[in-house]
Amino acid sequence: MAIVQKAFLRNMSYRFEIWLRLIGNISVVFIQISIWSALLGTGAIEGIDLSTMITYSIISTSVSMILMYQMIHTIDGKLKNGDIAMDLLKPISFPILMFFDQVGNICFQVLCTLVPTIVISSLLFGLTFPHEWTTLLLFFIAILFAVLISFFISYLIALISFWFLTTFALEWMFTALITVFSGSFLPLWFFSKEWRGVAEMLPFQFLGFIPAAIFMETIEGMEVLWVLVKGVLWIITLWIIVQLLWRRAIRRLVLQGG
Amino acid sequence: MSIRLFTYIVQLVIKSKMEYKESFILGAMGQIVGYTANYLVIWLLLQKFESINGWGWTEIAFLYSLNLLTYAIGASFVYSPMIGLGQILIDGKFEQYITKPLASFPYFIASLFNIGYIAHILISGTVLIWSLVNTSIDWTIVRILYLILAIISASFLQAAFMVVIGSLSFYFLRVQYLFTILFRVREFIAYPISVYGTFFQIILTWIIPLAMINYYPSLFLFSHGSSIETTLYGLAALVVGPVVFLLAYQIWRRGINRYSGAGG
Repeated sequence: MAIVQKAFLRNMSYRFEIWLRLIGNISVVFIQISIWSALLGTGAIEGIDLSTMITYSIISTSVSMILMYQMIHTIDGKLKNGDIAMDLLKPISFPILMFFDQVGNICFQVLCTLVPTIVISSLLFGLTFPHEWTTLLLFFIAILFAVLISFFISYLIALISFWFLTTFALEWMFTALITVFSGSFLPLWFFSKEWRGVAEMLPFQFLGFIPAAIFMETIEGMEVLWVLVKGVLWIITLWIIVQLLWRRAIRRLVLQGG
Repeated sequence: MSIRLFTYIVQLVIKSKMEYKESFILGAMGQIVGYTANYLVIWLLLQKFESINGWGWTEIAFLYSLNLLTYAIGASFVYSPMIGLGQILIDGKFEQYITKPLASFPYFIASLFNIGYIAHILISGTVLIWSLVNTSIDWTIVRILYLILAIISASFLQAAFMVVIGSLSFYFLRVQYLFTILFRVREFIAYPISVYGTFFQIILTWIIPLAMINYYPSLFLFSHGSSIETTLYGLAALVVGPVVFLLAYQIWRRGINRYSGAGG
């Protein structure tokens, strides 16, 4: 009985954390919506009104919940304490191992925080769904891109920090880039021309703006195609960079007798 | 514990941290870039919209900086001890703080003082001063004195919230997640609370008085519609910090009594 009780209590405390996380996410959405409501009121700027921004806030916040930033610490830890040697002996390549490890995390996040956050915030604030169901398909592709790009970026940070021996500073700098250029709070529509130009040249827009904009059907037709091609190019580029750095890191690890 | 001893311990802690100068400076630079990004997003937003509920860029920058600065000051003292307390208790290392002939609370927070917030203080302090120079406030002695007192009070208030959550470690051990929630909730005051409905304004003023950290002091200084109400709230902001901190300290003492009682 004591064991049952312990397990139950452990689960309860975990459940408590999930609830708190949910409240945290919804308050993020709420804050954003409050600001947009103060800024836009009942009017619209450049064809964007409050209900559009509500949908945008819910979707971009939700997308940001399933990205793979946690992995930076996992890889960093493994590289530094030598656990990586064990993983390298496994018959599966390390990056793929890490990726599926993260996919497991994401599935958990989707079930326990993403779905409830979307459901609760659409009940509270109202969510505009896409008109065409092909949009949903494109949206899922965009999500996949977001996940992959966040995977490679985190991997890149962990690998670069292998040389600098600290992830801390790099992580802050990348977070800074993501904060501004993912558009997860301020959509790229509202950027001034130069800033928008910069944002469109970087991969970070795929981590917030692109999925939300696709969901809302503001990117359409040939434009979607172009955006997706750009996404694929980024994924390939990042993949190549990571692969090169990874080889070097391993060589260094072996030379050092790690 | 005397203030001299307290500052002496803090100095020792800072010195030992400074041994890793390079990674420390690198980290500080990273954080400055990180917060610059937050400012940049607000700036980009206000480039487009000019103002939020009558608050322009310099005023929002002031509001945001006041929150960040006082958080950094408060957190320098209490963040590391409070978030670490659970693990310290689990490892049985807390005894060393309560068995010395020193007041346990100041000794505990002094020996875990965190100099790492210096980057927060640098960036928020710089923007704060910049925003002060660029507003149309005429700086009387009273206003300057008010600002200094408001910063002290708000720093106590920020620390108090962390002490309350940290004290819960005596009961639950695992409280890390509550800190994440605190940071999320603190996001509410990154913007003037007038953007939220009356319900949330009341909560942020009376239940979890986060608005006392930056909103009411800013109102007082900028005198947005200088009314008796603004003045009263503005003055309340000067006392609420120390008062809440004392309350938090009482909660801490209860926790510690429970701990030493159960440990035997």
